[in-house]
Amino acid sequence: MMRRLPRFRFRTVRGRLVGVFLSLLFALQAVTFLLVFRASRNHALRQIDARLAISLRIFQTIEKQRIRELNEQARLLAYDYGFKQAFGTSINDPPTMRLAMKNWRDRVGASFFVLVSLERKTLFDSENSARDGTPFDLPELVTVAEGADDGEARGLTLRDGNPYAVVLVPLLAPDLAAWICLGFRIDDAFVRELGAVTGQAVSILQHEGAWKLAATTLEADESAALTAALNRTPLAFDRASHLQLGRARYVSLLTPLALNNGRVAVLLQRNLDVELAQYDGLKFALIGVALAGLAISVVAAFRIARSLAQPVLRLAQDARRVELGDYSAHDGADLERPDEIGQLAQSFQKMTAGLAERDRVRDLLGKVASPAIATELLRREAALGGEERCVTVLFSDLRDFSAISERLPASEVVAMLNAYFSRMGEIVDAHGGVVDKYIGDALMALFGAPVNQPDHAARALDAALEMGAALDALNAQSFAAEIVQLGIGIHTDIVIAGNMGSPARHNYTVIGDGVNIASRLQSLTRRAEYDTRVIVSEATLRAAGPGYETRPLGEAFVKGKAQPVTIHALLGRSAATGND
Amino acid sequence: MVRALAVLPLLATAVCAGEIVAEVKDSRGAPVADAVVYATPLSGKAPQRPQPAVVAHQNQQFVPFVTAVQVGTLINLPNRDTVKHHAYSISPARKFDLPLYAGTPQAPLLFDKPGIVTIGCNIHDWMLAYVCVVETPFSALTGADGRAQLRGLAPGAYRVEVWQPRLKGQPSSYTQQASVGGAAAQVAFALELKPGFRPRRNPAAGDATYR
Repeated sequence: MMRRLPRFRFRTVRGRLVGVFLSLLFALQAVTFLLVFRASRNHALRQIDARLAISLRIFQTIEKQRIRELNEQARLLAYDYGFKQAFGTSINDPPTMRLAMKNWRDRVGASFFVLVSLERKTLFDSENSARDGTPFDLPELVTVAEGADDGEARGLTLRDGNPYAVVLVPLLAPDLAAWICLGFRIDDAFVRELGAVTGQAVSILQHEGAWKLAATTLEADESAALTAALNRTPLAFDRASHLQLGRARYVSLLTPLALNNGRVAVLLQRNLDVELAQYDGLKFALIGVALAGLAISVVAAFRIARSLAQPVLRLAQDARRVELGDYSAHDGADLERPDEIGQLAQSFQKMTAGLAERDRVRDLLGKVASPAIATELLRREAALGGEERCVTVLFSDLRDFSAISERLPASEVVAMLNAYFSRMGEIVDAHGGVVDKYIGDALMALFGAPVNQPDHAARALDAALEMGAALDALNAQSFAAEIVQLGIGIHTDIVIAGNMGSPARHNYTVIGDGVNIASRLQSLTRRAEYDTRVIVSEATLRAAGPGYETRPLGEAFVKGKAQPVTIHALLGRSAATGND
Repeated sequence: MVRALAVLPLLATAVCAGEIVAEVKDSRGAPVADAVVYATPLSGKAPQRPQPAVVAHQNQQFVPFVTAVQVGTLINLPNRDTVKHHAYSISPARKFDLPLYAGTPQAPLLFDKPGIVTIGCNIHDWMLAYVCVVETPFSALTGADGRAQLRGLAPGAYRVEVWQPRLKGQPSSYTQQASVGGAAAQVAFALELKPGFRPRRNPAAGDATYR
């Protein structure tokens, strides 16, 4: 599992939990933040575009109304009776006409007043007499007027390189006698008023080969940047786009104004940075929320990880204690938990109790039988049955024990026996044998079962010799009120070894002729003529090999066996082997 | 008997008087009303028979809309309305200025120059009338059917011309010739007309609102 993330090798479960939690939460926070931020920004931009579009409509309405006013003023002027008379009588009197026209021009505050003949010739131009008699320079106005119901035309156009709002009305005296054209120059004052109304930057642009600013509310450096930008990459009409002017970014909308499309246009601009600043507050709030969320996530992740890792660590410690044999109960806080950790703690506790129980049983078993038998029993699951083995059986007995036990108080007898058996048991164990059973004052030991030992005969002989020496030592210490003597019989034979008894109650032992023979040999040690306390059979001697000093004792008949058994008295080890 | 004989030349003239029937259509073939058709004899001079004419203010309109008269005609402009009118013209053929008046002016106006005289009222922008002053006494107006009849013409060749308030170009470009003889001479004109616009009279209440 660790291979999946080779770079992040967390050695602890806690570390991994924290890592996974934080990665997920961080990813979630980041995605949420980005989505919300992007959505809000897009919304902001759409709002700005929408406001700009509205501003444009406001501008167009204001501009229409303004020029309609100019139109109406021009119409009133055209109906002036005095002018009609002047037209009728002084048409061939240029000075009179020109002065009168200047007068009427000033009545409405126009920049110029041109009288145009029906043949589209300039009759009189109030500003430039050189134009008199030449073809009228705005014939498109006349075309529109001729096609209109009311015979009027109006719009924005360029004249002499400047933008003007122009109106053309018929001079009806009383029928169409000429055209009256009034022009109103567009300058900064006009756009400033419009900019104030709509709350944005307004510029009037004219295009004759290249874009030029006719009027603007922008500052000088920005207007220079604007001209350069427009001539570099022309803006599409009626579509909001972003322009960088110096340090500020503007959302810009360009729309044509003129009669002749595209030559005069108005540019509405809103400062994008100023507009977006409103949404900065939201952005910072989002960042704040994300960071706070992240901090909370970190704390939560660590705490959750700890609450999961701690009980696991406690259980691990308990396991280690159990391994060392300490079955004492640990603190029960985890046991109370209703979750999986609680279940684990409960199961662990039961397991510990079970182990403790098993240990006690094994201990007990080891005390009742030797540890080797106990292990064998546990290993074989205490099934009934046996197998043929070649083993050496050793029987030992205390002589005249009944007589001695009559003479001594019971407690002393028990003490003596326990001391005797303890010592003898140690010796048997030390030589790798197992004490099969104690029968009163007798002791039956096995060598070569249940644990397989090829030198079981030699071990039995060595044990017997040491047992004799130990008893001598005990006697020297006056462990009993009287000197006690023992007799040992040892025989090697093939026997059946295994768990004998009933399923409810059984023990590990051996049966066969060999066992009887060993027991018989042991009782033969009572015979004075043999004068020995250890009688071994020929079979044992042969199995044990050289190194033992013996005295042949001839043959003996064993009860229940037809053939006699060759027996020997065991005297000790021969000098040749001589090791202890 | 002498009296009867005196009538003879008249009768002769009457019996011998010719007619020109003119049909005036526009470029799409529709009949044109208010067109002045006038015939000038090619040989000799036209007789001088100026008849006094009247262009009246009636129901805040000039009646008739178009009048054709011979040079030297006296025209009066009586005001038949209850409100005063201010009639004027700045046409070179006859400039005049009759400030607000009621009733009939004492002196009629003499129209002694050929040409078109456009008459208006200074305080009623929609009022408009035309007087077509021509050299010849033979003139007639077309009706809604676009037809005009010139009567009492001595036999001979005539130059027939036409004028209409919305005529595009000069009458001289529409000149035709006709021969007056026994039967009525037929003349047809196809005029090119300008689209005309006139100030509307008293638009319906509620049309003009604050904007």
